[in-house]
Amino acid sequence: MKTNEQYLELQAYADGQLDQLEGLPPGRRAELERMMADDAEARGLVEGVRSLSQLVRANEPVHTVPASREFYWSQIQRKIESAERARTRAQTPASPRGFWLRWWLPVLGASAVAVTSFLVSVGGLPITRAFGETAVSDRGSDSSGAVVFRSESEGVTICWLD
Amino acid sequence: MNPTLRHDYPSADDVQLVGWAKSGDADAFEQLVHRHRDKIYARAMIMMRNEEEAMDLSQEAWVKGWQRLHQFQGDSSFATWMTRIVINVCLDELRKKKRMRAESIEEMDEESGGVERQMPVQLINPTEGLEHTELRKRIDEALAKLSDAHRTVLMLHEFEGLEYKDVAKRVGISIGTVMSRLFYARRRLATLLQGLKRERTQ
Repeated sequence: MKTNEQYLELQAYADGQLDQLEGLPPGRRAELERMMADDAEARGLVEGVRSLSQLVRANEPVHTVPASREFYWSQIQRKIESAERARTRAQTPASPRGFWLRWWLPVLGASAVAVTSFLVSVGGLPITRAFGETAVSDRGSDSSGAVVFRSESEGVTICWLD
Repeated sequence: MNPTLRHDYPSADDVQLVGWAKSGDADAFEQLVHRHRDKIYARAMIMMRNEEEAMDLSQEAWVKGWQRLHQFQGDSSFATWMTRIVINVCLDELRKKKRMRAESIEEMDEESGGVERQMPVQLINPTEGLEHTELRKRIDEALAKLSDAHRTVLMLHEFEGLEYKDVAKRVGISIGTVMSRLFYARRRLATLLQGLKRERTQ
């Protein structure tokens, strides 16, 4: 039975990688070679590693693309074009309308949700339809485009804006 | 991808095709894809063990290849350069999905320095007499049974011929971990192939 270190060093010896190991004591190679000469297990390990390596390298698995040349390429082409579009978009300065949509619309939407939720919680918007414990108000959809969903049991109010 | 002048693509060599592709010739690049697609796909397939992922990631590698073509200086062959890209794409995917961790208690034990408790690698020509194609298939099946972490290290060392330190750098682990993962992967592979020998003698 050998130590963990010895097994790994024998493997590194078999792979020709012993010199790459940092902190390897001088004379370690000679020690390993002596070990291999005296010990059948050490010798067997080195031979085993080498023959397995040779076997695997000589028989690298082969896989072929399960698609026609045209189909495979068309997908790559689409991905290239889509990546190029995305890159162009990222490099193009935003138009005033785009800037407004990107930054102010979400802020306005969130504010509207907050205001509507507040109104519902203080009774400003009546609850007109009830499903068990949940209730929906759609009065807002006529005037402000808001639809409110409230669950009394969960204590949650959700508001949709058209 | 602006088509330019048409050349005799099938008879051009990779260096010529790369040159044309660098100036925006998509048809030249398509010829390169056609020539090397199986090799690139096979790398992805060996690493991911899933057809759909291998298709997707190999295509992603080709997209990156097209985008970074200007960086290709010809220090290695185009196929080697593309292989490096697909391996990196697959490694990123494996890391993203946290598939590069040692997955079982046995593997964690082995990584914390327990290979001495494992049986050493043994291989007594278990595949002798098998047809080359059949042998490849059996090795592929055995590779599929390794964890992603172990298979990746084995593949980088055996198929890519990388030294321990380069495997460590590519995967982002220590040389010690490379050595123990490699040892474990080989031991498991040898055991699986021994099983094949028993199966054939029965």
